[in-house]
Amino acid sequence: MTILTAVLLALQADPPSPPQDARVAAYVQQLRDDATRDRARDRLIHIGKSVLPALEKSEADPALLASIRQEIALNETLSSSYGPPHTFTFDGTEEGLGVLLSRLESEARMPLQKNSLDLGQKIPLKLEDATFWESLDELCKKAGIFYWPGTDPIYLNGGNASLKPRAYYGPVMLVVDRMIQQRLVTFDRINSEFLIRVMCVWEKSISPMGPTGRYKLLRVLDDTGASLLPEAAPAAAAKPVMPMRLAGQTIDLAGLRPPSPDARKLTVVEGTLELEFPARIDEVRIEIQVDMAPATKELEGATVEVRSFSPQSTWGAAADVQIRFADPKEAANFRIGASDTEFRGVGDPKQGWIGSTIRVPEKNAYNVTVHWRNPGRQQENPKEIRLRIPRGSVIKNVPFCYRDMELK
Amino acid sequence: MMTRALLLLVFAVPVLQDDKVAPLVKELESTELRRVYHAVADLAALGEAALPSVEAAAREAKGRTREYLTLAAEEIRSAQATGIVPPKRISLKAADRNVVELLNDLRAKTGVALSLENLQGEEKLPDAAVDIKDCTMLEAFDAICHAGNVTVTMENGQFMLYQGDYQDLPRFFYSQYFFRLGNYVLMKTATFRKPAVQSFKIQMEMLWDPAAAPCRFSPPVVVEAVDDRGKNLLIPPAKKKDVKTPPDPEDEDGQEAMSFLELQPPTPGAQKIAVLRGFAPISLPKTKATVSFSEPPRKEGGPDEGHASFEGQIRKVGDFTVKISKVEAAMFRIGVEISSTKMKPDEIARLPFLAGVALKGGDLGRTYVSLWSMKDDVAELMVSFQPLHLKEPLIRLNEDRPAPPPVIEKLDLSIVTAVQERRIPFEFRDLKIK
Repeated sequence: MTILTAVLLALQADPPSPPQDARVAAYVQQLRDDATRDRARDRLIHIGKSVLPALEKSEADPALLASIRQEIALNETLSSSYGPPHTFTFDGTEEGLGVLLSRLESEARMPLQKNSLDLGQKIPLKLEDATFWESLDELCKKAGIFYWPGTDPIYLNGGNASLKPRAYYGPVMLVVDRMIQQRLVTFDRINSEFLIRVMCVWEKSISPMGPTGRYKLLRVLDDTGASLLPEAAPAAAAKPVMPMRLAGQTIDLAGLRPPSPDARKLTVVEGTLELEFPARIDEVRIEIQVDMAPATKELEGATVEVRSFSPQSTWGAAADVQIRFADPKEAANFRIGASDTEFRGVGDPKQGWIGSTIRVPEKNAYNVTVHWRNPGRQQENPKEIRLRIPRGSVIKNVPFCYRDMELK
Repeated sequence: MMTRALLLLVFAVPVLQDDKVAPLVKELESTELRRVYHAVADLAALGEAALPSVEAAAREAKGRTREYLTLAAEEIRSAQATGIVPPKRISLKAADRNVVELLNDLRAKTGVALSLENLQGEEKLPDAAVDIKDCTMLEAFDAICHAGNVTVTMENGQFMLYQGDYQDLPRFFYSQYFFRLGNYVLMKTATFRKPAVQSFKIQMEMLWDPAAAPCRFSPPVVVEAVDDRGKNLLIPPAKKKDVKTPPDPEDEDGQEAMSFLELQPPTPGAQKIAVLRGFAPISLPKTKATVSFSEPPRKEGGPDEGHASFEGQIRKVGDFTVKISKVEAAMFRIGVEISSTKMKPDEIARLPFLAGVALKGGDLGRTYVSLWSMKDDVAELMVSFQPLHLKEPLIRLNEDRPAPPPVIEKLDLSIVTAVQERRIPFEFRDLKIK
């Protein structure tokens, strides 16, 4: 049995990846070509600081080299909250859709809900060093699968693959959901505005707090050559802080000039948007039991208190947690996600889910109810709750560039 | 002799009505909208006796005139069912009074429930010149607010007034109802799945005299919309969304009066909408079961129980039992439980309710009834009220002390058991869109 499992695993394993030196050399070479530069830069940044010696020996543009070095250094500071994308290589051999999806799902640990798909259909997929999102999109295009990113799990449905423009950056994907041209007449003035709504999603292996809502647009041009950037655009305002960490969020690139009446498409939309990460993660473990007395753990500048742990009928139990901060700003900006919670003590560790969150500004506190779902009736309750408490804030600018987006 | 007199009377009545109807029918052909709709209201005010003549005129008329006459006939039938009296028209001329004094005059002339509390600051209000002739209460009200730069909003079925920021929006008056357009939005959305979708929406708000308050609303219906290039802006029936879904009582938060009229986008070169015409269907109370609660007289020398004497009082009307569960005067609310021998709580919750609160000193409260909760056999309502301070002096001293909680003397609660539908027309011409 063990041998059979090993054989199966060996058969499913990636084709051997080119040695890293060869990968780096190839990407360094690709930096010289306009068509391949952005992707090569992305890959080099996400391979990390081991690429720097080769890059420094190359004749890369010094400004480009400096920007890569700077971004690698920033990524290093994000520690476990950020990391390289999961990458996949497929050699074009026909494989079953189910096998391909399972590989993406298990390696990237991105749960996929497959709704009425013909998992037996054979798909030839040829990709090299593609990220999870690139691979999933290519597979969906070939198999006729539609999905909306930003849900956990991701729901895959049969149909036409999405035509929404995408920009990939490491483990992050930015999807243009829609473009809205609005003319508002209030009978004493007229406001014309154009906005591009972007959905920002990321692999589960990274854990940002979410987009701040701020962005910088470098170029927005329509096919008549008109720029949509206003002359004196005010800085984009930050989005209100979400109550919890989510699997994805939308950002509106707003306040743009409307395209020319004759324009049929936007030839280029290029810029960066801010993605916020915690500066560090404090981990807390607290023993729990039904009808327990409140239990607290002190952290630097914060106190985590499990105020109660109560069974919720037969299906599970809920822990009421209050996190109090010394700094009111930290309290106002704090949020937690399901992946920051874990119950232990019964079977495998199990991620909790967030029932509700409430901010208590007068106490600089954030209340959260974390639920544990009983996998079967009459099981023991968990013995411990583990919480990841994101602290501080680091902003990472995620670049995007879309071309030839149809307006009509 | 007597028989001849009776015969003369029987034949003379239609003739007399025809005499009154004919000139008003002529008015319906006026190019001045205000005159047209005053004529519709005047026809409706002739009452049941004029109904045969109005219906006969409608049969003979064509186009818009026919629609106006049909509306007038509907109005006569509706007035019979609801008992709502058509508004009287008034005239008002002044140049040496401020907006608070003018609105107070309007209150006195029409009895409209207006709270002037928000306008009673210590600053001296400037005089506002008005010259209003043959206007409905709402036309006069709007003209005074325009002259005095007062913003009018409607909250929970009552007018709220704020100093400043009067906006001169396109508006239309009919009877006890007032429509104004807030803005219009032309939107083009590309979603990459199908050709870009264009939508054109006009925001419209309806306000009303609280004496003719609707108890339910339906989305407004546009019957004619044409831009100045002649393009018909009506959305073909096949594209219209189904609007027959019954409203969820929990969504009824007093905002139904704000709606969006969905139209086709105008021609790119169009400068204005030549005609925008339609109606807003509303429901008015037709029959209702009313109960009254009042503070029992205090025994001589007995203790003052405050509002405790209200709590627990029970009244029965028809199949309904109504109990006051709590009185929180400081929070301006009264909890009421309603049960029925024939209806379940969720069925009770779907009925419209009306309430009136009388306060000590003869003042009235603006009231709003909302569903609070549903228990096993009762629907719990919350009657929220706010004193109108109708009897307070027009100039209020600047006091920092909070006012004492109001003293409730009486609560009337009506359960609307049947409604009468009514179509309230609106019509706008030459709306600039560029």
